[in-house]
Amino acid sequence: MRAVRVSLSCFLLLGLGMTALAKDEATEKVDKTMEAYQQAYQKLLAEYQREQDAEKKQAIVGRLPEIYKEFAEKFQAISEEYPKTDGAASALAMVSQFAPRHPDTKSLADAAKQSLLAEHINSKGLVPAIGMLGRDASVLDKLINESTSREVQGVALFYKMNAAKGRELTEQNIAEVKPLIKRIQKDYGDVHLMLAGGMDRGALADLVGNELFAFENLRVGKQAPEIKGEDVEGVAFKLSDYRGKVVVVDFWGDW
Amino acid sequence: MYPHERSLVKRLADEPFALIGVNSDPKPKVVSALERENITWRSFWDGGNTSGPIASKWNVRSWPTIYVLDHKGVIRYKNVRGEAMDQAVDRLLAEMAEKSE
Repeated sequence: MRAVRVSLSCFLLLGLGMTALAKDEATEKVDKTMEAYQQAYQKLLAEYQREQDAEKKQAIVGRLPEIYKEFAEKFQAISEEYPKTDGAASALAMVSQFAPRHPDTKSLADAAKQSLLAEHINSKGLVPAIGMLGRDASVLDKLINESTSREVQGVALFYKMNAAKGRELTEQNIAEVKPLIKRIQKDYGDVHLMLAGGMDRGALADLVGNELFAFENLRVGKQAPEIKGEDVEGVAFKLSDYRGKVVVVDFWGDW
Repeated sequence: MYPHERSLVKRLADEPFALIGVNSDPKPKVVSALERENITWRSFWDGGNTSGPIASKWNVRSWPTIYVLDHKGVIRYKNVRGEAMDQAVDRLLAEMAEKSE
């Protein structure tokens, strides 16, 4: 059961959402390929959800690397067909994410990384790869200072903030992190954090806003924010209905 | 996780304690889970996906995420699992009993 849950986080990582980008020919191909990836992925996910047997479920998860390989190769082909375009940057960003997940395509990932940093730092197609490239902190500074793309600057700054923050904002790190948050809010609030697979994590203004809200309201010792909502049957209730009791709030999903 | 939480809820059925879920599944899925796993505690339904309004506001990035609140609604523990969750709850119940004496 545990193994299945861990593997399933791969699904969550690369699973959701689709986004349209500007429409040059290469980008159009990237979009179409992304769509095909989404379909392949959704098909596998549906199969996984229908399957009841734990071992067979595991076997379905085991087919994911083949999908990553297939699409790493497809994106690689696009990047070679349209070198130095925004579409190539998007394609290489996908290669850098998908290729490491299959032994046959591992070497493509390093080449994609190098090409992204050498030829594509001014393209917003780079954005989905910044999280991975930014594990090297000097890369983030390079992108913030040298890229001409606002999207790239903003997302690089966000990852820098994220690294400075660690698990969460605390009394100890707030002084260091706050200026980064302020700068994101002032200059890059409307930039979206795009991840591989076309997943949109939302506008940076909202993401840093959530971090500040968490710092002010969701730490140990703080009054828990109110929750007003409906239960599964559609009956309205709120968290404060349970004041006077010790309460465990459990964010859960059945996966 | 279900068996553990089920036994916690059962053990504390007569105590001033509640386990409140916030569920991020599509509705058919959560309904079948409630039945299959015999889940007796109440859950907010958060719109059917992991970026629902409650999970977003609470900045939840991984599931499960656990908060333990005292009887005044103050956050006292975060992400305690298994035994640690039981101990946290027991400590808060004991603290509450002490204060009312």
